Amino acid sequence: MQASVDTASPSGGETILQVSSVNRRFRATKALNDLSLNIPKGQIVGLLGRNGAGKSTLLRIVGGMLKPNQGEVTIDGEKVYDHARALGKLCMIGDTPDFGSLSKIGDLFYVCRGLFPNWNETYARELISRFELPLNKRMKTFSRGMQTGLMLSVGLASGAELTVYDEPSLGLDAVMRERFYDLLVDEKQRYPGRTFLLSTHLIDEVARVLDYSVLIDAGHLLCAGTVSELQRGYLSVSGEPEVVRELTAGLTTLKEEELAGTLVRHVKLNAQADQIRIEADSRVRTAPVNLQRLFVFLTEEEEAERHATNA
Amino acid sequence: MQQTLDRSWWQSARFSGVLRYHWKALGKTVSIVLLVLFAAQMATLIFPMISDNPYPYSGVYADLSITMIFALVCSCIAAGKGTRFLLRFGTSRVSVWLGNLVGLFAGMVAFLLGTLVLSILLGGAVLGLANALPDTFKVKTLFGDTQVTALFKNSLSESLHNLPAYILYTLEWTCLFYLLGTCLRRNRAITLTVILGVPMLLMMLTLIPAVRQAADVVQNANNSQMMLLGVQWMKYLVDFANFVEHEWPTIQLLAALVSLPLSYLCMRDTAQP
Repeated sequence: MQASVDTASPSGGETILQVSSVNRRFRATKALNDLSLNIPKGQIVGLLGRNGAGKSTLLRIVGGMLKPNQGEVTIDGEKVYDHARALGKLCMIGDTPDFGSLSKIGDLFYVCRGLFPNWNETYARELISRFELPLNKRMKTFSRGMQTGLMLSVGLASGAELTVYDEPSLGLDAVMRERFYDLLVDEKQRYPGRTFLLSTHLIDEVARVLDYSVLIDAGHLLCAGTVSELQRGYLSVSGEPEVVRELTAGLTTLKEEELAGTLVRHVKLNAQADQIRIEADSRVRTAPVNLQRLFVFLTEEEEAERHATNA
Repeated sequence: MQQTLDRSWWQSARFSGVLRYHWKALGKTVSIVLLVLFAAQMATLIFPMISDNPYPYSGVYADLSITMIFALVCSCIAAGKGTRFLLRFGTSRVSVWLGNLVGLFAGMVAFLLGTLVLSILLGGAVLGLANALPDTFKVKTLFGDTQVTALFKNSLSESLHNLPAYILYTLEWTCLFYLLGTCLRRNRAITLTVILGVPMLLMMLTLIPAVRQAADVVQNANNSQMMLLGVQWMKYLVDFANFVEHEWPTIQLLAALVSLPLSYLCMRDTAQP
């Protein structure tokens, strides 16, 4: 399961972002605790975790806004904090839209042309119409959803090698969120070299677009890997309650749901043979455990371990 | 996508983006404030026409005092809101610091020159109105019997002569105000405590013993001793005032030069939201 806790090279590909033994404290609170991870190049990566898991702190360090107390963050092998070459490859879109003293979208795009060497003005204007944003209104009068849509457009049109979104869907309605995820996939297909790192706690929603996921909790890495790598070792089994119980006896149950006489059990497999045995039985249906369910299980397991250690 | 390896430091550091930000943000503020000043000055031309009072004309000048106030406000905004906006995209601190200073220098010099141009326009309007409507628009120069045309010409030539020094002052004070802005951004409470507290502390430390000593002398001394003390005090104050007056350009220049690296060091370790 600890697919890429070994930070050498996730999924065998090139690494764009490397986080090595990073610690960050805010007075008595330890926001990041010896966190190490690698982000593969050319992928849509989800940084998943609960509220307060340390996602935003990590992203602020990646964006050079915060200095780690210990450890190092590099982009393409170059240190990030206050290093122009590494930061030049990055476009950071924070969770709170900020336009400085600029008032109109045109002004923001004018500045972006200077900030991002690969800025695509035509695409940016196209995105504005996709997000249904008025060009001539003052940005401060936009609703929160419109402001978020604008910042998401800036990230997509920036052409940056590594684009980081902190909670990208805050304030967006369901239609716009889906539109954004579609645009993200399109952009990655057009430019396979681009990497997108999305931090979110809305795991189910974002799971469909992710190539790679990093799960963190309480400031340290739970696990990292491609979605299928993470799902390996877990299975959802549904069917007649007694049959399901019989087939999954001896396995750890993540969650159990019973509806209209059908029992769905999400289980952790002990070995590959368990999966082969269950899937071979025609009385039940099987499916991979969804990412959110898996995340909840891993977090609870981690919490239980922590409490046991503390006790 | 363009290859990153080919990029110069300036491109990676996004320096042109920082300057573009200031062109839009500061450029707009400079234009609006100059426009408001121009409108206010033009409005004053109406009063002599609706009342019997003559228009008080003081000649052409670049307004250094208003430029200083404007520089203080703009430096604090650039060090706060502007810096936060630029850093949040992942722009390097060196680039933001350098771009902020270049942008502020350009903006403040433009503003100073703008006040001079406004003053010339106002002078032109005063001369024009005084010639066209001699009965309704009377002008009184603030320098006695000097003619309006002569005052316009002399003050213009004097302003142009003083302009390089004014520009230097503007740049020096912009450096100092920018340092103040970065300190306020880092920790408002400590900065304000230092700015207000240190001069007060120095004054108290200097004045209290001196006042006590003077009080002792006044109680025990005769008239001639008191006269001597008074003279000594006057001499001390005059020497101090002369020193400050004589060395002020050097003090100001040194302070500005020292404030440049300090402002970078201050913003370098300031955590951004």
